[in-house]
Amino acid sequence: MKKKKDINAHITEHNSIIKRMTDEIKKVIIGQDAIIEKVLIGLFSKGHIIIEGMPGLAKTLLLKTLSQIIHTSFNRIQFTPDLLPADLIGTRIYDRRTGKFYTRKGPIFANLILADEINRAPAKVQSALLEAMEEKQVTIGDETFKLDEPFMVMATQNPIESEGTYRLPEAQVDRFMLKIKIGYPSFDDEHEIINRMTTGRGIKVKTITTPDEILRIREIVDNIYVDELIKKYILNIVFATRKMGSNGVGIEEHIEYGASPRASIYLTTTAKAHAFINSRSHVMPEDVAATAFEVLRHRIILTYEAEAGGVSTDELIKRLFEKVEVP
Amino acid sequence: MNIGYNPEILVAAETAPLLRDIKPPKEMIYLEWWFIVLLILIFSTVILFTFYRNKSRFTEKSEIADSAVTEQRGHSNELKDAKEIQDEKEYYRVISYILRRHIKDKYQINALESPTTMIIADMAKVDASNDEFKIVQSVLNTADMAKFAGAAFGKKERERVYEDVGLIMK
Ligand SMILES: Nc1ncnc2c1ncn2[C@@H]1O[C@H](COP(=O)(O)OP(=O)(O)O)[C@@H](O)[C@H]1O
Ligand SMILES: [Mg+2]
Repeated sequence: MKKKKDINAHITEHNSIIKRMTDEIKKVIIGQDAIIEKVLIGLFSKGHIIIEGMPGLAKTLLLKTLSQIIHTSFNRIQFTPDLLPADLIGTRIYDRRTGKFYTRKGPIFANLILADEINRAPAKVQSALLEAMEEKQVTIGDETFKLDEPFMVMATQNPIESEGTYRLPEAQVDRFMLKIKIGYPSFDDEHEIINRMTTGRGIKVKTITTPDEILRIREIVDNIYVDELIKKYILNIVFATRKMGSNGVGIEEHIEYGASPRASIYLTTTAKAHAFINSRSHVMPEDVAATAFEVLRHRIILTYEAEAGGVSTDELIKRLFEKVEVP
Repeated sequence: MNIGYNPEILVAAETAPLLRDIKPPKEMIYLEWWFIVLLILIFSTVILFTFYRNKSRFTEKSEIADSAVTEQRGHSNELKDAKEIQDEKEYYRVISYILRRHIKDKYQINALESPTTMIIADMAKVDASNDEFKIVQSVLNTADMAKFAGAAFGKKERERVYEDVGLIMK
């Protein structure tokens, strides 16, 4: 598979799964095609994702459905203000009868984690999760446990600041490869939502794939070709978000802190996954643009003035892509 | 009292019109003359100036036209230079750049900053001829394969692309 000449064969072999997965998810989720694609990109490029949107836009439903079509261990953790780190990662328990401690692993030990409404839990719990995401291992007492691969955290967050919520600071959101924003459905889609969701019959989905197959796809994605021209294009984009070393595309004045090297890495890996989804063994500039908002929006910190003036990072990213020359 | 002929009154009557014909002093007449000359001078200066300005605007215009011509000539020279590039990837990179800049200038499409799919979508909205549309699409797609997939097309394809771009930029 490492050889370039047969990567195309592997792509055609595994690529059909994209359509089968998408079709299955769409039995439940109506519309939101772009969101579904981005969630799959996150899955195939080893990223954790966070979905932000108003309540009731099917964030939980989408991620639950995804976990159902993969034959894998899945835990949904509802984040609440009284959640403790131990509730998440596990704890040491003393057994009086044997006089020994044993470890009870928390719900984080699963392939897929839905951290639902992450902004409702206190910072301590959030950091425990973020640490596990970063290190792919968990320490309980003095024992360290590796988390199973694939390990993917899908978090949801509500953008409305309300009392008793602890919205993740942007610096923490940096741990998530993609920050996906979900919006309201279209008129026709919502019409279909009424039709499908009011019959009283639950919609069942089939399992389509296994963790092993996901890992194999990830390996194929790793081997997708990224030319030097594309790498430089990505660097030009990321550097343009920074005051220092930017080539002056005219957005720097609104930016307090530019995107970190994680942005360059993730733009590259997600572009590869997007190329895979589109049956290509090489990355094109449109693959880079495909997840630009999701990779960059939480990695650009606006100045106070820009924020007060109603400038959004999405707007800056759009302007950025209109200014940076495509190779 | 005799109110018949009174020579004193008669004299007064005869001199009256003379007295009313008030002429400006001699210096004033002199000034007025200067004034007219001055006016003429100012007037002619203004006319000359406007004329000169128009004239210079004309020359400016023709300079713009000239520079457009030289730019065009420069672009086709660049195309000729590109033909000499041996490395295939670099050849397609330069050709694609020249073609995209041409599209940008001709149709005000953000072609240098857009991926091919977007350029094609934008081209469909402007009044490009069908042939032009097809050529642009095929050249950019070929160039993309050479640039980003490391595809090697060989000499024939190189020449075909060169001729196609030349045709578009004519
Ligand atoms: N695009 C959609 N497709 C199908 N059902 C939807 C869609 N949007 C909203 N719904 C309906 O709204 C409900 C709310 O979804 P939920 O996942 O709980 O929202 P969230 O987690 O975003 O608050 C779903 O269970 C579903 O019935
Ligand atoms: Mg929810």
